Parts: sequence; C-alpha cells; structure tokens
Amino acid sequence: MQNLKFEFVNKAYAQSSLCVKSSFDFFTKISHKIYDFFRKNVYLILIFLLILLIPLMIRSLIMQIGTPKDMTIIANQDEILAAQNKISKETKSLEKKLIAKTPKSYYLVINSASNEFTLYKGFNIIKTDKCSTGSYILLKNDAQQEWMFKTPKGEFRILGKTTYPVWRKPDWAFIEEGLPVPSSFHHSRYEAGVLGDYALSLGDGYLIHGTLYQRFLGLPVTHGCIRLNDENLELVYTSLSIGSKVYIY
Amino acid sequence: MKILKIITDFILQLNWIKRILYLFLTVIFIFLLSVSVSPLHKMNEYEYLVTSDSLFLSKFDSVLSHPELSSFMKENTKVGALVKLASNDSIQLSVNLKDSSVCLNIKGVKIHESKIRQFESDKLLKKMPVIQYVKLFSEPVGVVSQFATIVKEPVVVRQAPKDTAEAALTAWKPDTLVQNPAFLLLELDYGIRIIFEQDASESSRENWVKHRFYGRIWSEKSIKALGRFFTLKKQEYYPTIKISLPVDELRAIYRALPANAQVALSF
Repeated sequence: MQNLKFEFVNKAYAQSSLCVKSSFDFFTKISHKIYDFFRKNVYLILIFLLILLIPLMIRSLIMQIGTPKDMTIIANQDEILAAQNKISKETKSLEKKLIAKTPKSYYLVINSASNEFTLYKGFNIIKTDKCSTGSYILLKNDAQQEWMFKTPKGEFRILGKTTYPVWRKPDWAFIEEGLPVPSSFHHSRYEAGVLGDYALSLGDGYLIHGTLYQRFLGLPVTHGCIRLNDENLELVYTSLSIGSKVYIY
Repeated sequence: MKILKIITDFILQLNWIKRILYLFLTVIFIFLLSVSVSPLHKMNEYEYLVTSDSLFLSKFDSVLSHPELSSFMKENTKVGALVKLASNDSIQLSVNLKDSSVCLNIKGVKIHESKIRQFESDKLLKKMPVIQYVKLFSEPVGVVSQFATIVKEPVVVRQAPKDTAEAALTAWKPDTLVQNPAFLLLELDYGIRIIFEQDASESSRENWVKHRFYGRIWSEKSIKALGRFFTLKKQEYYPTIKISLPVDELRAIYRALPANAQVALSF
C-alpha cells in the first residue's frame, strides 16, 4: 500500500516537472523567435518608432515655440498707464451694468435637477432648502392625449398670490387616477387644503404651493408646480411680492 | 540625388510583402505628420480672423497688446462678454478658469455657481495673443453641439390607468437613486471644445462610462481625421479645456442649458 502511494507521488512529481520543463522550453523558443525577429528587422522597428515619435516631437515643438506671441510694443510708461486707466474705467462701468441686472429685492432661484430652492435678497442668500419640482412623467391615454409633467425653465415673475388656495383639478388629475373626467365646473374638481396655506402663481397654471406629501420634498414628484414645506412657503409668500422674479433651471 | 538612389536601391532589394509594409508605414507617417501640424492651421485660422476684420483692427489700439496690459484686457473682455450674454433670454453658461468657476446666468443674474475642482487648458489657448483673445472672446461663444452620458430630460412614459383599481396597482413611486455617471462635451465655435467630467470616477461602472465617452470622442475625431487625410483636406485641431466638477452640479448645468446655448469663456 505504502509502495503504491510512493509510486503515485513519484509519477505525479515526474509529470509536473515534465510539464514545467515543456512550458519553459516553449517560452524559451518564443523569446528566441522574438529576439531573432528584432535582430533581423532592427531597421524596420527603428523606422516604426520614428514614425510614431517624429510627429509627436513636431506637435510638442509647435506647442512650445510655434504659438504666436504678442507683438513687441514700444510704449512709454505714461502711455501704458493711460491705457490701463482707460481699460479699468471701462471694465468698472461694464461691471456696474452687470450688477444692475440682479434684483435688489427678494427673488427665488429653483434648481430643478437637485430639487432645491434659494431665496435671495440682492446678492445675499436668505434661505436654501429642499423643494419638489416636475417628475418628467409623460402621461398618455387611449384617446391619444399626452401630458408632460415638467417644471418650465427660465425667468418668471410672480403674477398672483393667494391664501388658502383651492385646487381646481385639471383633466389629467382624474385620468391619472383612472377616474372619469367630470364637466368643467363639477364640484369634484375643487379640492381645498391640498395646496397648503399659500399659493403664488407663475402663470400658465404653474404655482409655488405647499404639500401634504412632505416626505417627497427633494424629489421630482410634481406635475410641474413647485412644492415647498409649510415654513418655507410662508417665508417665500411673505418675501416675494407680485412682480418678484423667479428663476428656474 | 544620392539619397534618392539609396532609397531606390533599398526598395528594389525588398520583397513585395516588405514593399507593401513600407508603403503602409509611409502612409501612416504622412497621416500622423499631417495631424501633428494641425495646431498650426488653427493658429493661422485665428490669426486670419483678426487680420480679416479691418474694423476690429482699426479700433484696437496697438498699445493694448502690451504685456503689462494683458490681464486688464482679459478682465475687460470677460465682463464685456458677460454683459452681452445678459441680452439673451434663456439660461447661458459662463466659464471662468481664472476664478475656477462655472456659472449659469439668466439675463445677467447669476443663478448657479460651481467651483471647478481641477482643469486642464490647451496650450494654444493659454499662449493666445491678447488681440486674438479679445477678438474671439469679447462676445459669447456659441455652442455648436452637446454630447453627454446623461439624458437632458429624464422622461418617464406612463400609460393612464383604465380604472381606480389599475391606478392603485401602478402607483408611481419616485426614485432618483439610479443616476448615470455624468460626462459632457460642448463643441463651441472656433473649434474649441470643453469637456466636463465628474470629479469622482471610482466605481467600475463610472470608469466604463468614462472610457466609452472618451472612446467615442476619440473614434469620431480619428474618423474625421482619416476622412480629411484621404480627401487631401487640412487636418482640424480642437483646442480643448477639460473641467472637473461635482457630479450633481454637472447634471444641473447640462439639464439647464438650452439647445442654442452660449458660453462666456475666460481664462
């Protein structure tokens, strides 16, 4: 039994050493062949390297010394100083023009990608917090009608302010819930309390309002309106007046 | 003549496989050479833009090209471009490499500012003479094309339910956790390119998207270059600025930019 075991181990050892030897021979052969190829085709390899290197060197040379330089200007210090003053004056007047474009009073900036709002007064940040914007859902029904729930981007103004707003549900609100669409002034279209205590209109049916679903703040879940929590809504309502600017991006 | 004879003798002693190989290598060499000198064409193009505008040249005082005034001129050009950008109604971009900031503006109001974590600017742009800088960047530069690894509008199509029971079953739950890695290429006028990449690419998926993004840019560039080479046209050079931004900010910037965006570029 022990002899058999010994024979088996011996065989395995012999086989593995044979395998190592053959693979070693194989790699030696390959390396010899590569060496022979390099030795025989040394010019070809050199040419190939030059083909790659010469354009690279030319490119770096062009970038180092080929770029045009400013003309050598001969000017006395007074001329330079006068030109410097002129440019500085012009720059300052342009900066004033640019600064004048930012509203001095309160304005709201909404980031619809991160669902955040920032209330500014001039260049000062008053408040930054979460909000909810359009969900980008494209709702389709069998009657080939489509509604896209996205918040528009650009510059808007507050067109109206309401306290205790009542939501007049549009057609999509019924279609979305699988309900039949009632007539235009049917009582089921009117729902109080769902928009919070205040609403500010941006036009075309888009509002800044409150929400019952506070856990969704910070997520894109609305039908295009901007939802804020109760505290922020009150701050925005009291800060912004009719005509105040709202920037959405 | 002697060199020609040596070359002819050398070619004659080769077998036909080697002749084809050498011919192929020569073609590659000429192609690479034509690509390597392409920045010169771009420099000439910018130079021509200046010299062909006689009105601009007559207004531009030569003293303004003095090296001592270059920083003042660049600041003036930047503010001038921002004022012109403000006349546009839609959201526009301003990239300021000196302040390391990328901003979104509407009608002159800065509505978003991102701090650049890292950037690489092209040598050709860095060494541009003041007169060319003023000519090219005193007005906002138009965006010719935009290509990104994220969608502009993440639209979700939803079929309206037939009744309330179906509506309850298919109630939509918001999910914003799945977000693609963000890489953006803006091709501007004058052949300038701005590549925005998210600052952290650690996961294998992010790296895969990054390699695919750069692979696509590289393959498109190579195909164009080969096309130009075989049609005997001048090779194009694209001065490129590479900017690293936090991923959320990059998404916000790309989604805010309109199709006909403009960029006030300063460096």
